[in-house]
Amino acid sequence: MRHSIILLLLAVAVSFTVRADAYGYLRFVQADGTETALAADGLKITFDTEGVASVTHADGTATFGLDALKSLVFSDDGENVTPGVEPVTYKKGDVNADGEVTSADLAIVVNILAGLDDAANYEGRADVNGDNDVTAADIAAIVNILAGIDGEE
Amino acid sequence: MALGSAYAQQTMWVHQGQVHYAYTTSQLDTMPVVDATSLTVLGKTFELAQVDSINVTSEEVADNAIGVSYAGDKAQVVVSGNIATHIEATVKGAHVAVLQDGDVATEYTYTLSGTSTNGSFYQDGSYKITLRLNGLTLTNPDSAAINIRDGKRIAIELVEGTTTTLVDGANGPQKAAFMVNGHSEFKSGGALVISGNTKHGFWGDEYVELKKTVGSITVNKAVKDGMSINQYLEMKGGTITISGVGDDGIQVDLTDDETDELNGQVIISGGTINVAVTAAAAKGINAEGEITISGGSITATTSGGGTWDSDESKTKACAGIKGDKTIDISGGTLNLTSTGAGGKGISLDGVLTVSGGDITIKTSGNRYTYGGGNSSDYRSSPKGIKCDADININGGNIKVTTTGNYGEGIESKAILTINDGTVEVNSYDDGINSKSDMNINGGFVFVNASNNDGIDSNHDLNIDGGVVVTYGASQPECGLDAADDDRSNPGYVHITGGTLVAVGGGTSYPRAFTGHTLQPVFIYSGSVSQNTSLALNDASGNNVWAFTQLRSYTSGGGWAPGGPGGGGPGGGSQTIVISSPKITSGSTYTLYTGATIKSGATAFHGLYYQGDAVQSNGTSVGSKAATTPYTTISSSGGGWNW
Repeated sequence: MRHSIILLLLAVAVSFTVRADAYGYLRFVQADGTETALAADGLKITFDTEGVASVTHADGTATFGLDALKSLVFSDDGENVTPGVEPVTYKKGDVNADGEVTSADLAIVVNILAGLDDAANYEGRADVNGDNDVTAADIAAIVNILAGIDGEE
Repeated sequence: MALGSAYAQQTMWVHQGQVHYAYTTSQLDTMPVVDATSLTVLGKTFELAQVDSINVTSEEVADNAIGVSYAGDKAQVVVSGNIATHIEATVKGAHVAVLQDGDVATEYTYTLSGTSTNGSFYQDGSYKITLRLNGLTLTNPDSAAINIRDGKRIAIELVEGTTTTLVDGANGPQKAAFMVNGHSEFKSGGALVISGNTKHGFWGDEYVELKKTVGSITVNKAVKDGMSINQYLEMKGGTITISGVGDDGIQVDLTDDETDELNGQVIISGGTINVAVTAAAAKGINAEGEITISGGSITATTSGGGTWDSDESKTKACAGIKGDKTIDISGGTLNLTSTGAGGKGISLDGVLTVSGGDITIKTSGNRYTYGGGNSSDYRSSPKGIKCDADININGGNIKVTTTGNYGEGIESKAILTINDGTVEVNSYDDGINSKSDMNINGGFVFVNASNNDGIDSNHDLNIDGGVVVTYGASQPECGLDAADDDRSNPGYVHITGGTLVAVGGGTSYPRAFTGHTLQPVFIYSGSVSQNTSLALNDASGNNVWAFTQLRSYTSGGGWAPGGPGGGGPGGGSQTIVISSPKITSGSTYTLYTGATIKSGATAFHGLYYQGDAVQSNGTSVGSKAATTPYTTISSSGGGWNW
């Protein structure tokens, strides 16, 4: 059936408006404030007769009781939220999350740009200027922070 | 698949049985779970108990689209997420119904593909749509294969390079295998093949347009009409082929609303129509409104005989093209053939106007007679063109051949006027016939009637211009015949211009024409063999008129079927009417037979209308001064003076 659906998509896909964004996560938001972020690509949800949603995703499986589930939302924020637990925040430019902005953070961004490291290892912290990309501008941002020109959490 | 973007695509699917909703994730807001039983996505509420699964893929989907794919006894429907809230899709096996709600204000595109021998597609809505037929093969044994109830504009795209085949079931309630309630606009170069097993092949409740880009529409079977259309048919391109039908090829009816535009009309400016009908009294193209043809090519063949219409208490017969109102032909190519009894090429109730185009008509059937009735209501004669109103020929080329008995070439039940163009008729019965006046003011007219008059007016016959060659049969039939023997409503031949020759057993003799200046006419009675040339020279020996008689008049003469009573000499003699603007009243002219024509002289069916055509004169048969209305230059061996 999947093959026929793909063929059907070939028939359906004509030149109408198509957005080009892809989200990293589907967040399962529960009534008590708990939010669970699961990798979106390849995710699948099924519903049983007992009111349970079973989710298979890139990192494994998860289940949610429908009576506790409030909503679903796509997001690039992969951080889970546990009620009563303060979310951890990092300084802007603190790529290695050691609590400080140092040349070590600068070296990480340089290595990412050189292809020697992966931005995914740093949970978005390598995107210093918040433009959803890791570029030389992020190096410049760290340099400014080290020079005392900029810096925030 | 349209992968035109450098960015990743992402789609969230909600699967409900054979219906799949595809949401582009970037369009999604928060999706609330309500009462642990439902999930709302972009305004559409899904009962989770009916959801098979939800999954996320990196495929791209288009907005505003519904795709239906048939595979045997199942069909899968994909609905773009951005329109899902406006769509209700129901699938049972391979039978699909899609309803658009009344809030739709954007055109959706439906794409149908795949194959099923037990499936259908039904759609309803109140906004225009595009229906893409993408190589679909669909048979519905119970009803229509496709039934579009949406009453708006339906753009039907025949996807380039594909063939879609639609078949319905027999003895069903449907009007056709392919039904469209709204107005159909066909486009794109694919092919569509339809078989109608209950009634029509295609039925359109509103107008049908074929765009220039359209490929082909074929109806290879229908119990009734190939295409049955309300309002109008407009064809700018493409090919329509119709055969294997039980009634008309293309039928266009008036709607109930008189204000509907182009109501009942057929308008053809391009494309090709090939239609063959076999039923009794069937029509190739039948319109309740006006017919306008300015381009394209139409080939219509009818082979059925006549029939008795008990509702109207009259006979009916086949016609290649039938119009209840006017027909206007200014271009295009028409080839119309009728072989059955009473069959006609063109039959119409209103005025026929021809100003361009090439029209070729052949009828070979005999007269159709119903029962033992003697009135005309019980008979239907074959005719090339039969018109209940005026005929106006202002251009174009018309060729008519009728070979069955009582087959007339061109008939008007009112006034027939030829101003220009070329008309060539070979007929069994009268070649060109009018119930009222006939006026020839220009053009080229050739008639060869094997068993009756060449040109027959039932009132006045006025020739004021043009080039006319007309042959009637032997006595008592005429090359030119007006109603000069009708005491109740007499009419006469008036010749005021033109270059003509009329050959027959007899003739109606020209009369004075009040308010008009007559052109001199010579009338020769004698025996002229086939391929013998006549020459008329002035006193200085200049040739002003020449003619080579191309028809043979054998000895014995005889009456044409249905001809007047009375006897007359036969012996192969003819009465030949001669006139030309080069003939001056009062001047003396000599007529010769056995002339030799100059090589390269220009002739129209043997009439050298430009003059100066003679190489050598032959034998003189007499000299006379030209007078009006006519001068008999010789009267040897026969011919009747009416």
